[in-house]
Parts: sequence; C-alpha cells; structure tokens
Amino acid sequence: MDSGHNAKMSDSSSVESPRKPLLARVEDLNLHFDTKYGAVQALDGISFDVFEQETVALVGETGCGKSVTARSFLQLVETPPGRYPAGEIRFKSERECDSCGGAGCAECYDSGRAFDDLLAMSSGEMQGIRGDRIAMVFQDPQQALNPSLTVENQVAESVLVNHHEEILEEAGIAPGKVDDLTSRLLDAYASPSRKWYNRVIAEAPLLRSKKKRIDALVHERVVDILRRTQIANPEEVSRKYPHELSGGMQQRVMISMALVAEPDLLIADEPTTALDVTIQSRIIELMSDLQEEFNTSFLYITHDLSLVEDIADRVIVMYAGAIAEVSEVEQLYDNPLHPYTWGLFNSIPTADTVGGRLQGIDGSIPDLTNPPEGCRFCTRCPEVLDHCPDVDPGLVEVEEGHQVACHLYPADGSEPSKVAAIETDND
Amino acid sequence: MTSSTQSLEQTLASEDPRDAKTGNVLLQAHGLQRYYPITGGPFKRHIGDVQAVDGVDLRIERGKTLGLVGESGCGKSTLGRLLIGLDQPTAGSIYFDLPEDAAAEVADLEATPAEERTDDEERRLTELRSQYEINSLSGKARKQFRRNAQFVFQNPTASLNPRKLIRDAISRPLELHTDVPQDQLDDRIVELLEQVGLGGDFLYRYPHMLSGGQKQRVAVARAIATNPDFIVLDEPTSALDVSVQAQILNLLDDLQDELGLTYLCISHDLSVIRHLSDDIHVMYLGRIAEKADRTTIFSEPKHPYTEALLSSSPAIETGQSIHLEGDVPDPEDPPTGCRFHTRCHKVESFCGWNGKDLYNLLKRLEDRDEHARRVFGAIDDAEYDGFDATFTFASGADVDDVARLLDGDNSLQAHKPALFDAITDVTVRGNALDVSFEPTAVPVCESVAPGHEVACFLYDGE
Repeated sequence: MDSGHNAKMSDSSSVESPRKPLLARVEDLNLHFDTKYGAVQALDGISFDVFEQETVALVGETGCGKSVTARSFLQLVETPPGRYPAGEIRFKSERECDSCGGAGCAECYDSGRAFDDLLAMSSGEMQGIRGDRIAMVFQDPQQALNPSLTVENQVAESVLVNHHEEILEEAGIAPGKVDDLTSRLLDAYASPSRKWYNRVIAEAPLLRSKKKRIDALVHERVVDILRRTQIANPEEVSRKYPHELSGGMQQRVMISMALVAEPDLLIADEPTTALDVTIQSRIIELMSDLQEEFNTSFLYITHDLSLVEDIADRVIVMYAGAIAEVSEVEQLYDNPLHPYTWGLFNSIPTADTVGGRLQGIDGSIPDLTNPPEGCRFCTRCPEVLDHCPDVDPGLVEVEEGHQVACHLYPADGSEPSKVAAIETDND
Repeated sequence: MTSSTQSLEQTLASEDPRDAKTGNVLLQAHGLQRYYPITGGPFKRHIGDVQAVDGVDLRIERGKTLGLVGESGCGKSTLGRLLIGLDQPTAGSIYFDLPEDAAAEVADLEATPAEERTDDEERRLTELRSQYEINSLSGKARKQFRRNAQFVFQNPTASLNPRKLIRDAISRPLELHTDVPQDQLDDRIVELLEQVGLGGDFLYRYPHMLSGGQKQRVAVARAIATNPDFIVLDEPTSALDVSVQAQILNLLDDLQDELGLTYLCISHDLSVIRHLSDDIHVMYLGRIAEKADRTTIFSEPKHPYTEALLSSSPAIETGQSIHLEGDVPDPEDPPTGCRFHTRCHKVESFCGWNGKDLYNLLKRLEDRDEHARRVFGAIDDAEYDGFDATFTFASGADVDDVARLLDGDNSLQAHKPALFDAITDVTVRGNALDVSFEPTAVPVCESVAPGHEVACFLYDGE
C-alpha cells in the first residue's frame, strides 16, 4: 500500500492526509425520513473521509445525525421511513479497481482497489461487509446482548460467521467436499445459521467425535478473543449470561465480538456513555490498544468533547444534520473555528467556570422538517450575519486539515473584522 | 388582574415556611444505614443483606450545595432517597432544620453509643428526635417536612406521567401542599414555568411534546412549586446533552440564589459536581471515603479512591493516570476493613485483607501465573471466617508446597505484596491449610485538615 501518491489526489471535496491511505469516503450524503408532517432532513450533504488506522470522532448533540451517519455504513437505517435522495459511501473493497486494474487512478484514489458504494449494495453483499469489514459496538451493551444466550453462544456466532472454513479445516473436514454426507452435515452444524435439527443430527454416533472437535475449536477461539479484550477469567465469563456481568465487562464482550473478524473499520456508537468514568477510561485505553494490535480504523461517535481529546486523530463536529467543522484533534482544541464548537466547549463545566455561569448554547435544535435554508446553526448562533439564514456556507479549508462551514470564514480568504475579535474573546 | 396577583403574592408570603425557620443546619444525619434484606429458600428466610448505605454521617448547611459523587452502585441514590424520606433507614437518624445549638447537642448525644447514654441524655435525645428527626415526626410536622424537601429525578421522561398535561404535573403538589386557591392555580403555575425559563404556552402540552431539557425544567418547576428549602438532585443532567446540561446547571444556580435553596447534588460526573457544589463527599460502596470542600477535593485529594476517580475523568486534568483494577465488589458481601482495599493502588498490609481476597487473586491470575494456576487448580473448598480462612485441597496436592508459596518470595507474591504481607499465620492440617490475616477495623472519617475528612488508614494519626 503506497501512500506517497496521495498528494496527487485530484478530488478535493474532503481533507487530504499525506500520511495514510483512504479507507472510506462519504460523499454528499443526504438522508430524509418521511413522516406525516413532511420529510425530516436528518442529513444534509455530509462529506468526510476515513483513512486507514486512524480514529475519527463524530461529535454533536442528540439529533444531529451522528448515529444515522454511522448506521448508514452498514445499511442499518430502515428504509422506509428513511430515504437517501443523494450521496454515496465509498468503501475500499478487496477487489482490484475495475478501471485501472490495480495500477492506481483517480477512480480508486490511487489505491488500486475498487471503492464500492455501501448504500447501493444488495443485502447479500452487505452481509459480507458486516462484521467482516465493518463492525459496530453499540451504546448500551445490556440491550445489544441477547439476555437468553451465554456469552460463549453469542461470541461463537461471530466466530462461526468469520472462521467457518478454518474451523472445519482444523477439525479435519475438507470444506469443499460437498458430496460427502458426513462433511455436509458437519458443515451445516458449524454454520452460523444452524437449526436445531443440525445440532441433533451432529449428536449421531458417527459424527459426535468431530462435532466435539468443532465445539472445542470454537470454544478455544471464543476464549482467545475474550482474553484479548483483557477479560480476566475468560473461561468463566464465557459460561455466564449477560446479566451476570458488569457494564464494563458487557462492553468488553461487545468489543470482542466486533473484533472477531479483525474488521477494517470499527464503528463505536457512544460505547462508554452507559458506563462509569473509572470503567470508561479503561475501555478507552483498551480500544486504543486494540486499534494498534488489529490495525483497525475507528469511527467514534460521542457527544462528549472532553473524551475526544484522548482518543481521536481527527474530529468531525456535526450540527443538525450538517458538518460544522472538520479538524485534526489538536487544532480543534487550540483553535476551534465554528461558533457551535465554541458553544460545545463553553458548555463543559471546568475549573474556571466554578461558581460562575456556563455560557452554553441558547435555544434548541431547529425543526428538521423545515430547516433554515443556509447555515443550520443560524437560529442559535451568537455571531449570526445577515446572509447566514439564506446562504449555505459550505466547508472551507481555513488551515491545512482544518475545514469549517461558517460565513465568518469566507471562501475567498477575505477576513471579516469580526473574526479576530471573537477568537481572542474565546481564548 | 393586578389585584389577583397581589393577593396571590400575599398568600404565598404568609405561607412561606422559611419565615418561621431560623435553623442554620438544614440537614444532619448520624450513622445512617440502609440494608436491603435478601431472602431465600421456601420460607423466604433472611439470608443476607445488601449493604447499600452503611454508616454515613453528613451535615448540610442552609443555602449550600453538597455534592455526592461515586460510581454506580455505591449507594449515592439510596442515600438521597433516605435523606428525603422516600425510604426508611435501617439504623441512624436524620435531623432536618435544626437551630445551631440543637445541632451541636444532637451531634454530641448521637456521638455517644446508645448503651453509654444516661437516662437524662436518652430522654433529651428522644425529645429532640420527635422535634427534628424526619422519621419520628408526627403527622402535621411530617407533612411540613415533605413540603420542604423535594426531589428531581435523573430521567425526566420517566418522572413525568405521559398521560398528564404539564399543568396537571405541576398543579398536583400545589393542591396537596399549598393553599393557593383553585382560581389562582394557573397563575401560579405560569409563574413557576417562567421561573424555570418556560412560559404559559407550555401549560397544555404533554411531556412527549417537550425536549429532554424542557422536561427537566418542568421537573424542576414541580420541585420548587411547594417552596421547599431542600432539593435532592439525583443525576439532574446525565440524560441530557452538554449544551442543554449547561442551561440546566445555570438554571439551578439561579434558582438557588433567588429562592435560597439547599441542594444535595448526586452525580457520577465530577465536572458537574465541581460546578454546583460547595462541599463534596466521595462515596464508595455504601461508605463515605472523603469529605472536603470543592477546591480541596480537586487540588489535594487524599483518599486513593478520590485520586483514581479524578484521574479517570477526561474533563479533569490531574496529570496522573490511575487505573482501578477489577470491578466494584458485591455490596452483599463487601470487603473487610477498608472497602476499597481490593482495588486500591496505594494498598498496604493493614488495609483489611482476608482469605477471600487471596482466593480472588489466585482466580484472577489463574491463566497468567503458573504458581497461581497450580494453587487455584488444587483448591477443593474454601471457608472464610472474618480474617481467618481455611482452604481444603484435593487429595494428593502438596499442601506444604502451597504453604511455602504463601510464605516466601516468588512471582505470585509480586502481584500483590501487601496481601501476602498481611498473612500472619499459615498452618497445615492434613489436606487443609489455615491462613490467618492481620485483623483490621473499619476506617472512619478522620480529620486531616480543617473541613477535610478522610476514611483511609494511610492518614491515621496524622
């Protein structure tokens, strides 16, 4: 994978990083939900990139569209009522690029691999992506885990989906031999979609020894993946039901399920919101360790800006279905540009605000069935200009790797006098 | 209209309970304990207790905010419910609205163990209790207390009845606890809604038509409807976004100034606690670990648990990173001695180790340390009696060898030297091994500086 050619990339709608090859590109993503009061415009022209082995944080308030953006990667948004009027999520596939045959061209962003649109995939193709290429960890592990199955049974399902062939091979059954009845029955037993009768048949005297071997291999893998998420006593934990585990432990189980197939992209939707701070810090440390170990990219969704500093490489601040600011994490903390980002920072109680007032952001998110024509933040913005409600600002690159969608930073580079005053005020 | 507003103001002024009150100490609790019984077997026999709150003393002055912080399951919400009379303590007493001298007298009397009190003292205490202790109050005084103490719950969606209008939600406490006449009820409700930053147009809305922040404002309006002195805020902002959280925190601040409210703020979020509170109590597993004012807690935390809590909060810069091992222990069977010793990074041999800790350590290290694997694999049965434990080994296991492992220096001991230092005696009896640990009392809150108390053995005698 040669990343040296990235500078030549002609497409300029998103940030270009000279360091890492592109993994996914979201282009002009629009998502509407049809309701009886009209279409809720949940996403309005979202474009961003995810590079390999980096952590991107999506930050914003409830209802800003960060979760539906992430869910769109896996076609988890129900359509209808959801509808994509425009947009693509291009994700790097394992095939060679059709137009250049692996040499690298503009079509495949010089990677030599085809980029497929995740939104256009059939459900069968999508099933090949889920878990294997892109995995997801949800907010509330209590709800995401099945309460009636033991941890082993749930993790085993991911193991069977992703290591089906390997397990059969190790158990001494050639997966290709479909004409052999024993192999076929055992193949059905080791398949993730096995039925109750597959299990009964596998108990037959001739099959039982091989079935036990398969069980042992699956168990070995389950325990191994649990151990990698630093669960002490994986053997014991694997026999437990979710309700017997603490919240932090449940989230570790979720993470291990997501990592079974060593996905290229792991989407974490507020994975620590339901947890205590002490547990949260351990889960976050665990996730960054695993990122190094598995070379995975992270798309990390959170509403907590104070958390972002510890985990993310780049931050995308979203507001009401549109991107407000895209930035490297240090730049965002040193020099936040968008008034909404200032509001988010000012909302966090710190040592300086003690006893005083928090600035916060006045008002609440606009009605998305009829959002403002221009900048969606204009209804709450402290620095609103005359043309803000009517003209869409669009993302403008202000410094390298730092884009903002705000009329305070005009695209032609002319600087309104107001900006300087605000920046000093903000510091 | 003006005349009606005036008469309303008069009604409110005359019934304002604060006029009659002079007490400086709004709330004082002694030896609070709440055990939830666990029953089992066919006859629902009492087989144990969940020790949700165990021996908590606290004192809240009028107009101040006390912050209660701790991990989930540490008993902070239970404590909040006890203080407001939503739950009865199994032991201990809560005094509400005490004059300064009575407060000192109560503190004195409560400090004496019950069996050492003279008859006179006992009589005086009963008298004080019937006057101020919330669970001993008589009917009318108890109703007065109910009006004076209110609660704001964590989840506004769950605490507002979805089938009742906002007007009904707020009018109920007004009807029950105040003498606002029926025809002025709406005026008063609008006034309350305006006080929390909403307005009259919210009267005839249902909770689902409101955003989370607006719902929490309604919950606050309902709590201040009866002109209370004391409000318990149980995680008031944890269900809200940061920007909305900021609005609610500002509102709570304003109301405190305006109405002279006293808050007990319960939260697991240290930055919220720091913003709202004057004094902070850190709780761990049913006990208070550290009490201090806000600046002291954040600048010079003494208890190792407070240090760990501060370091793991991303919003607070501490410059150190402490990771707590393992999970919060089961409150049904809390650790002996200091309850935090199983996870403490500064733990010493005198912190209260026992056989169960040894067993858990072996279990945890089973697949990382060969000694642990050997010992743990051979254990057949374990019995604990306070600081003594008896491990029975499978026949054929070399018990002497295990005894030597517990005694000498080896890789097993390196994992938790303090635990092995605490072992005072190891005796081999056939297949069984008796292990004794250093007996330790329970750490109590001791003053390390004026207004700063820590329940930790490391600060004993300072």
